[in-house]
Amino acid sequence: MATKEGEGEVKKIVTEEEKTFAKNFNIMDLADIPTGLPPHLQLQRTRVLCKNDAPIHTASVVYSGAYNGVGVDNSVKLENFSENFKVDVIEISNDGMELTFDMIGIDAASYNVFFFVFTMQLPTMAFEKVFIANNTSIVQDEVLAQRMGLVPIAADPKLFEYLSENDQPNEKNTIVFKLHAKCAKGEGRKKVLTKELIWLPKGSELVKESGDPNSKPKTYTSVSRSQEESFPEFTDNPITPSYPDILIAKLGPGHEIELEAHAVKGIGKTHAKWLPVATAWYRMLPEVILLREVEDEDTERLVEACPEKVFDIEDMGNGRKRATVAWPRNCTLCRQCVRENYGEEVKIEGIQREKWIENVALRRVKNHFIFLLFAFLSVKIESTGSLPPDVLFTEAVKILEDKCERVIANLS
Amino acid sequence: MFREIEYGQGFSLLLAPRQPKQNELGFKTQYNATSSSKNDAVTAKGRSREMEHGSFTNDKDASFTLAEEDHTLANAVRFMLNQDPRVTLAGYSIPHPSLECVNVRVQTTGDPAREVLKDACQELMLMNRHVRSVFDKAVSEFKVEQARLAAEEEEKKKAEEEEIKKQRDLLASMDIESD
Repeated sequence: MATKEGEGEVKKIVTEEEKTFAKNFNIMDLADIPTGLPPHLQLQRTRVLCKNDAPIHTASVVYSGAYNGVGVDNSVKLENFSENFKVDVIEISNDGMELTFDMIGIDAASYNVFFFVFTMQLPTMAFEKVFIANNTSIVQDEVLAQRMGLVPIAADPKLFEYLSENDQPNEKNTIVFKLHAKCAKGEGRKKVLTKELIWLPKGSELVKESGDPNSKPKTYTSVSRSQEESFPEFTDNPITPSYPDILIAKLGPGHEIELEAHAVKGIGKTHAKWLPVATAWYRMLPEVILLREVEDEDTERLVEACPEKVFDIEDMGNGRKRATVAWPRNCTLCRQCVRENYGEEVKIEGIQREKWIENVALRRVKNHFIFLLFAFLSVKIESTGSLPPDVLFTEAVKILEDKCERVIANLS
Repeated sequence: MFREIEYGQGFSLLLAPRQPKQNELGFKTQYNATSSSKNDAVTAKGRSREMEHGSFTNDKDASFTLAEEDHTLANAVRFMLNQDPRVTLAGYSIPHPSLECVNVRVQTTGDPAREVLKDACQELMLMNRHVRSVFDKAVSEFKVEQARLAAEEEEKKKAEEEEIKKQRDLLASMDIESD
């Protein structure tokens, strides 16, 4: 601010204080100029609002220039992401096969990719070809084969190679199991469980029919070395199905099943039998906000309304009660607390009670996800090399990295 | 500048012309050949792995065709592209679900589209590495914490059992005295 001399009759004398103030003045520090997004836009950007009929603002605002009109940059640099990203493990079950964790700071598109890769692109071993020598049970051949395919096998797929159409099945890409179950006449009905599946480390025992009577009998696999020798992990631990008590078929008296099943490596995208997980689901963190003080009689109704016990009563003294949100994580968005017709409409002093929908706001936080992963037991608990869900997750991320690398290499 | 690559029969004819063409408007279709066999320019089915459909004169807008890809990578790449401030338009489409290929469209504010796409893939890779390391750390910390808690509980149990034993001994000794 310079002294304004000769401007009309007013003469301003500038003090030293004013000069330093002017030097350090930054218009952005003014309180009424918005530095971030206005609160209603911030709400739209970061929360899914679950209204009574449908959720709104579900799409995530990704475009870097989305808020250029308001003067806010929506781009996300990698450093910001690295600072804000967090993983909280909530629970790991005792056998290590169930994993619940939170991912905070990651967006919908990114976590969906992990999910895709985790379920569809991770390899596992499952029965692909079933050679049925004898089946007199009431379960048809093809039904039996389909059931065999769905049996989970406890073998680390990293040790095996893929079997393509032109390859010969050998010990590096096939695992051979045998099943021979009989129910003698006079006995009651018998259950065939997966524990009767016997591993054949030396390959197939079924002989291929060939027209030449003098040639050596060929089996369906060409195994040069027994799998017990080539894989040190399996020397003392025979490969078995993940669970010994899965029911495959039931036999009546006089029925018999004799078959050989070959397991190969595959991914979930081709067929669901190769899925590495029994259950994998994720949801956004629910946020429950009370828009209005819910007091006295209403608290009881609100607490009763919620089947997941999200709300709790707080005593405020003087016999007055208030409702608080105690466990928002349990909320399943059943919307029972905002149903318009809940309860009876009561007229107190001629004033009609407000509808419930104005009391509670149900929201979901867009970049906070709760994952639950439950994997099949891949190897027996005593041995090393088990594949619990946390290992599987790491593998999934590695596969995604490989894809990116391939694209980058092709682009350069 | 361009290398001709042999294609297999069938679908590849629909996706790519046999020769790099340059029409009157100066559009180009460039194919890429890399040396490593794993990242072969031609996939197992004989299709080119990656193609760029753009213009000779203006390289800031281009479409890319990625073979043997689906929503898994395409959505992630589109997301990273959108976050980049240099990008004005980023999107992907899958022409037909039976054909395993994805078209990615990138339009930028001046930088060549291919560079921007490469940067987006690079960032995606770095992000994945970060996620992996954070996840591993969180799981190992949790396991350590659980082990610690389990050990504490066991100690408590042992202490309780000892107390119960002591009380029983006391009672037993009192009985003897009364006898």
